[in-house]
Amino acid sequence: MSNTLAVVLGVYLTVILGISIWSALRTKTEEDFIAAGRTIGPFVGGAVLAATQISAGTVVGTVGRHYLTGVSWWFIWLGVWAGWLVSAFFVAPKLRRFGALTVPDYIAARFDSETARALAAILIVVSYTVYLVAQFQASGEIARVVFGMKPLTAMLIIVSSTALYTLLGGVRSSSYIEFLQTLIMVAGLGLAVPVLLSHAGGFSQAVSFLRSLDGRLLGWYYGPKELLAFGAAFSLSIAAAPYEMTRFYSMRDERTVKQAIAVAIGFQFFIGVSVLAIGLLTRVLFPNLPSPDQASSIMAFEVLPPLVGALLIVAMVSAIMSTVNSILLVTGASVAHDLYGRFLRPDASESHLVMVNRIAIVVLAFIPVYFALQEFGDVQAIVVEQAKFIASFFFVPVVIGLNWRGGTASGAVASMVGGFSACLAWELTGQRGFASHGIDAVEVGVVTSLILFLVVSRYTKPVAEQNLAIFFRQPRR
Amino acid sequence: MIGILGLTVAGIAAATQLVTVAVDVTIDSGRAVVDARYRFQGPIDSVRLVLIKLRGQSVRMLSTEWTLRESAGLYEFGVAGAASSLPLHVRYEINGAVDRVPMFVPSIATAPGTSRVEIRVIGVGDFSVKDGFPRFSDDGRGGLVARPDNVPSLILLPRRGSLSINRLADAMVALLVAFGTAIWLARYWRRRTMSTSTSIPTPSPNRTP
Repeated sequence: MSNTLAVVLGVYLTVILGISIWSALRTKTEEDFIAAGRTIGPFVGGAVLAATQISAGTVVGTVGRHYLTGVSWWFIWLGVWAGWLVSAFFVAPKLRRFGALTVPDYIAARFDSETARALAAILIVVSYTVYLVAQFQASGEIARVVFGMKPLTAMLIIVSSTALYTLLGGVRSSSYIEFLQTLIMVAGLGLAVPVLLSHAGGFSQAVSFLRSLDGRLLGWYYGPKELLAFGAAFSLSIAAAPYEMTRFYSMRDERTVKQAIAVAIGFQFFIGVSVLAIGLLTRVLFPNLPSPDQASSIMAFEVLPPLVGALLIVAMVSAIMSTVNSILLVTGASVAHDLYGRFLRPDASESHLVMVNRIAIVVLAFIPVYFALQEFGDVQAIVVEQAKFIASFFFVPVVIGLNWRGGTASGAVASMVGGFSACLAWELTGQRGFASHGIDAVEVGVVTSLILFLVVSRYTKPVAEQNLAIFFRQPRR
Repeated sequence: MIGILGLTVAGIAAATQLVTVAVDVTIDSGRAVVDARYRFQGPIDSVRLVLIKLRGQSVRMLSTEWTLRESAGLYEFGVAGAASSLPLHVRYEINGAVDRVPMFVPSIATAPGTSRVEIRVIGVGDFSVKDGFPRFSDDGRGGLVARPDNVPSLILLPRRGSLSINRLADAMVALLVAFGTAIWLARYWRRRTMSTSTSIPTPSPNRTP
């Protein structure tokens, strides 16, 4: 590790520790811990939403995917933004108005069902543990290239430091830290692209080389059906993503949420274009790396000048930390607030629930480390798989449930269980014929979930009007 | 899962490895001679070596065993069958602008932590070591040496005194940090001033004595 990197990393860690301690001093209640007292404004909120979206999947996985497959992967961003827009117009305002602390809170209130709450909480914990595997695997890759460190050591350092700042200040500290992380990311990527372009000898030379190296890099490596499936996985999962919704709850009001989403899309557009350029330019400079997941760290460590490289490595590490932090907040809240606080100790005090939340965060942080060490696939592949499952069990009860009065508790439970099971079954069996049939697990999962939701809701007991009144302006006649 | 996503790029996930690469580059007034040796391990059917085509340069092979194929963006040659398991020794000459010298990159990748890549440059009179790519250091014999983990497509040695994008980018980082800190301090100061001024209780017009 160079001295510059050590200094930059040291300064950054000191700053986030300072923010965490400052936030801890201002965190008094469960609402403070999970929703930052609902005080976050549009610019900070937008940067926070961008940071929660920009994870190891982006800085390691997406760079690697562009490195390996070229331009066509960029079109999945359209799915990401479509998901944000659905969220901005059909999900976020209603959830923000409802003012829940967690997504299972919404599920329980909308469908008047504690079973649906428990199921949602369990599915959140399982699927986001898979997402954490991708984050930890990425940290292992960065550590191997940059620090010459064993992946396990790196994962333990990431887990410990992230769990610490999550434990200290909850959403308030993570919001300000993620704001800082987005700024670092934008600065690092913005400066990296011209340096790489200059090293590669200019735009036309780079394009000409890539076209000759593999014609598909600048064309259609993935066909429309594959891109549609990947885009749908991201789009449908983001529209209903619990860890992003938690951030809506922490914002001042509905208007702030919409403005923040617009700001987040702006940040993501910049980051998406930069990540595409970095993946392709790293392929020009190092045409044959042993693993595509190494592209971003090799670029930062071996190509960029010391300060920019250090800044980008800090941005990568911080992207992993921010995502780990967001997920831990959501999974910790699912365990403490939705399972423990509702079913095991309904009479628990707020301070007791905050303590249980903190213990859950520590436990849930360490479980994925084992799976990350097995390296089941590249980082982006794990992220895509996780997105497919989230979309399959959450899109229908959250997005359709918020916009169609007819959904019932049994419909929601059937939809979640059916969507998850169908996605899993297709992954294990029918997915192998993906290339020939063009039908992906996410499409099977979401369609199954939707059919079950509509059919079961049609024949089961409707939800009481008082539950629906919170979410629907016009009462049913 | 890689299979699910349809990722099959030759070389990237290959079982064979590029074990060592030793490249000597001699630069002499508008001409660079490159002497590169590659050693592979494992069963090899064939290896493709590609050389990026750079503006303002011409390439001449000094090794006569292989014939270069030329396309719009690169030169390449392939080694098939038993020959590929032997150490490859490639010599070529670059004429023209030699601040960038292209390297042949094989389709078989290095292995993390076990492979060794070493690039030595001789005749670096007026080139800047600090701004080079990959990261070079003095070899103590008047030349430069770099030991990247993987084979780069080119080496870059900017001339001393020329405007370096590396330094420019690093300076931008320092500027951004200074600018960001100044903005944060200004906002913090403004908030403090406002909270101090509003903390003085003001009498309400509606309040009756």
